Amino acid sequence: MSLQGQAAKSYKHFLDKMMSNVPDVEEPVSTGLMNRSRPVAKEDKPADAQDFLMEQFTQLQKLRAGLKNG
Amino acid sequence: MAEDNNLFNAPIPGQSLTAEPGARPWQQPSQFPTVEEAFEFYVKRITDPDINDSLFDALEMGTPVTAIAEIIVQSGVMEGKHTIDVSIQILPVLMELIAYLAEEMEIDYNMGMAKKIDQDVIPESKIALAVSKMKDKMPEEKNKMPMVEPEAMPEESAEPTGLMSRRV
Repeated sequence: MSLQGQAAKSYKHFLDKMMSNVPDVEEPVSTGLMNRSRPVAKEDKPADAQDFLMEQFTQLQKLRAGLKNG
Repeated sequence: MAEDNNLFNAPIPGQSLTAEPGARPWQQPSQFPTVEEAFEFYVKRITDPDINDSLFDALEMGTPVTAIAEIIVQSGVMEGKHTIDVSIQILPVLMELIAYLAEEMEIDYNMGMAKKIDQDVIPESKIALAVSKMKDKMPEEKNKMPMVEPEAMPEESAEPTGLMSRRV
């Protein structure tokens, strides 16, 4: 049992995934007096282990970028 | 290392059967079954100033971050902390954490992602290939027509065209 180059592969995979991630766009909510559409609560996605790791990864990338930019 | 493909540097076939089933830590249920728990465990250890001195020493000596992260998670599997699946999942985040800490400590580290190519050192295999290619080309040159050197053309002296020039 040994990890032979798995780190580089999984790191590249994470980088590719991070670059392909599209940020969520918040839709404008109409709140006029005559508005008849009811706000529909978005369904929460079940927490995924990959989401947690990707979030941590993105946070660390941002921190590193902050260090580089002073 | 990934390049180390020595077939003899491996366990003897059947060596895993020499211990009682369940006697090894990795044969027990893992201590941190989820990636969140395992990551938290490593974050505490890696960011601990009492522990991470040796980590920074290794980075300063030029050990790639990939190799360090692999060793850390591999030892975690061998101690029965988590499974090998969890270790592969948390590897990139651990690498990023180590890189961040190294940058914070202003250590010139090697991420281990790009293979360094030494342009000055030409491998012997390439030299042998080039020599064999040259040898293949040599017989063709023998069959070719012998090269004839062009006759030396007499140099024509340019006639002076100025107003004050004298005709010869």
